[in-house]
Amino acid sequence: MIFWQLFISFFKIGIFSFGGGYATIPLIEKEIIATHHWLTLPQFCQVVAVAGMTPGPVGINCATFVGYRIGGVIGSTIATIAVVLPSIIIVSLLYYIFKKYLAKGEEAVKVFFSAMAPVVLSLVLTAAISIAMEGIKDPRSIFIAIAAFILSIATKLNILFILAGAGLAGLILYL
Amino acid sequence: MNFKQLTTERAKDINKIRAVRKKTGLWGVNIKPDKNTKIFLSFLKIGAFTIGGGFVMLPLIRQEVVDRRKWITEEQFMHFLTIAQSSPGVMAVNLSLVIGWEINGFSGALSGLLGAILPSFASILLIAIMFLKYFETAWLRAFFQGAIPATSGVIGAVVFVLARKNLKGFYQYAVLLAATALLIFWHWNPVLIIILGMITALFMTYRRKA
Repeated sequence: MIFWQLFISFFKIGIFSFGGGYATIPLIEKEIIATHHWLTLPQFCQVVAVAGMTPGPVGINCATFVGYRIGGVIGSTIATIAVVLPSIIIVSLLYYIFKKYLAKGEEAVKVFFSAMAPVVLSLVLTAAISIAMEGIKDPRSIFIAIAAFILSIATKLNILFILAGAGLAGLILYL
Repeated sequence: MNFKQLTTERAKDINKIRAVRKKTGLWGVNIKPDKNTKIFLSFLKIGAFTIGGGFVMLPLIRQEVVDRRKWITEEQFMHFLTIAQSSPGVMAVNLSLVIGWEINGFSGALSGLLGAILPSFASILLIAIMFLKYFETAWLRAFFQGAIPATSGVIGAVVFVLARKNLKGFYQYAVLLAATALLIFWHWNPVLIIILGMITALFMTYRRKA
């Protein structure tokens, strides 16, 4: 019974969360704390903190963690499947529509996506700015951010190395 | 059986094993990965080493599928990013699904999805089960204090690269800045921005047709 509730909850979260990553957290909070009382607020804050500090998408991390808290390994598996299931259905549908219209008239699809491009990029830019506002606290971190920006535009360096290098720089500068 | 017979038998076995290995690669599995395995491993790598969520994975996914593997073009990436942002759910998952679809159909989509979520799933379970107590350390905090500003830098860079390739003219840059301002200063809902953008885009498409 609890597994079914868990599935329904995270399926709902998968359907109604837009905007990616941290934008989904208020919705998870509402489902988990307000509706079902599965976790307390401090517990939930710990979940969010850990989700942000572990590999992978934050939404998946949250689902796995909350699922584990509620129903062990089975619970975490169910929550993770439930949260990606709407994505699989809707993305496949959109991809099908996209391909159909692309075959019908390439020009019109190009005009549509070209008009959408600034809007989509504004969401990404917003993510960059909000992370910068949260993470940049002193001149050293401004320097790291600018160095990462320039390195990833001007060189073909693997971005993983840039991020790892910045982490090591953090160890040297802040420890 | 004497010693000599035993060694020739052994040599025969070794030759047999060598012949099999030549055909199938080391460890008896085919070393040349098929397309789905490649998609899976690419997203697995990105999922395993990026911390901070979907928007951090974005520049890495672009570098992997456009620059390194050359699976899709820059323009296609922009299309798929639009689709991923317009669908509900976890953005990185949507992106891995739609890129996987394009490269190798439904099986490709599932491979991308599994690669994107498996590191997440495994690491959370590991931490939830074992390491939660040791999670807050000074080392880790210093590492993130360096890595998080860099994250904003590389996400800013992917916006720069994508804008240079996909935005044309003053008007489009004006829309980018205006929409960003609405999101940051006036805390507009991203869904509203996307829906308004879609209406405008549809309007422009039909006007162009007429």
